[in-house]
Amino acid sequence: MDIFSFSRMIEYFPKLIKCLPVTLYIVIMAMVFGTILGVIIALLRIYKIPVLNQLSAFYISFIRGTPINIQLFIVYFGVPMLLSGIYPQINRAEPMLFVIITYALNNAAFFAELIRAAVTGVDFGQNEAGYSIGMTKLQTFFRITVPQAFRIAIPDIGNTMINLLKNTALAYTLGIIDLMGEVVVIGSTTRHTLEGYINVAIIYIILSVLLERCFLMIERKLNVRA
Amino acid sequence: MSFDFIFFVETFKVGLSYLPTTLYISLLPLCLGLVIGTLIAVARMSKCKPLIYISKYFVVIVRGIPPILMLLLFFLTMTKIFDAIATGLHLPFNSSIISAKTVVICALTVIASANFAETIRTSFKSVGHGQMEAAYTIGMVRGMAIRRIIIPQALPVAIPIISNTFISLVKSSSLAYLLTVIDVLNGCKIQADVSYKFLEAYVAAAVIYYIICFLIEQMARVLTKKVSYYKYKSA
Repeated sequence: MDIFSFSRMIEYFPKLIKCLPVTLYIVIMAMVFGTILGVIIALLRIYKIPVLNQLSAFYISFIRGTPINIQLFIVYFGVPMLLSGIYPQINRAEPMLFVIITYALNNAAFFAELIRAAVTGVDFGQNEAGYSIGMTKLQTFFRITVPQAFRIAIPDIGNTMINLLKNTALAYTLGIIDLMGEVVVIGSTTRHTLEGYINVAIIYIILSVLLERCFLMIERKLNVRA
Repeated sequence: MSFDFIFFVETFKVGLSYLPTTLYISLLPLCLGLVIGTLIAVARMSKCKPLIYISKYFVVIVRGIPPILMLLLFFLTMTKIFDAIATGLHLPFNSSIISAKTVVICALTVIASANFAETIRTSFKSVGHGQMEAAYTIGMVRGMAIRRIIIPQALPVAIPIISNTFISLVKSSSLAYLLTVIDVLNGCKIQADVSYKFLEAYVAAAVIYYIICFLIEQMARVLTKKVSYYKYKSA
């Protein structure tokens, strides 16, 4: 009985690397939409807009308190139900759409929290100093608060991105052919999945180490300037 | 199609009855992970070069692998390796004694121990080196200094991170449904297999996980306040 063969592992590697763009596409789309939504939620929280503040606090804690695989299925079944009255074609939408919606919503919650922590982490005296030299509120925010908050946020952004990357491994449960999905495809014809999974593990390890290094470099660069 | 609230409440009750399984497959890795993670952290902070490298790369590798992949790798290899060892040593049992639950617990333990190793190391590092020197100057020995000076200061840093890791463990334990373990998520899902009301089932499972995580967070908050008592005395 052979459970593992090195030659099969090398044979599957090119097939898997071809599916890497799908995973990266999910990560990038989730990052873009998650950041936009996250900034909006963070602003609601920072300026304490009455009802929306509590709602977004609940939203953040709910997303952080439930497993991402459950969120995937809630979006997969829930969004068509919500939109079926307005937009019936949603029933024929690609699963990719639901995957991106889920990861964007998930990422938005984590981003909102880290943006809020970074902005409130900047000492309020900095704002007052900005006002005292005649800057307007907006100028102070963009020229004084944002650059300092960005420096505080960088390590957290790195961690969130690595977590997002690791979470995208679950997208295959909705039938996306990404790295994990391709292993299932290979497994269904050859009955060998272990080699594929080991390949995927190696790819994920390399990607997350690369991401970590990148963010360490950015962190160092920003700290030198300060 | 609309949200069936009665079915939701029923599924919620069924899901709650599987709560012990979920707690079992996330609490055991927490305890085992704390023990193994401490050992790894000690190895990392030791002066032995090979130990430092092994613990360093173990942490990097485990933290790079998604939990779902870790579960599947354990699922595929554990029984085979166990069988090979058992027949090699002529043991009177084979891999049939390994249940899916055991596989999940082992996989989560590995994930937890890597995370806790990192947590424990950083929280020890957060206590300045001067503290240790100060303890030596007033005549404490190493063990005493660690026990009375370092650990009380490291705990308030470590507990929030440990609680976050525990929360992510609980969330990862929901992946056990892929290995046919009947936990909260799978219990809810089985209810829906008959009626096709999947949304209600998943929302019920989500609410249960949310409550668990909320309670863990509150407990951690109380605990952090308890262990950082010395900070409020001086104020």
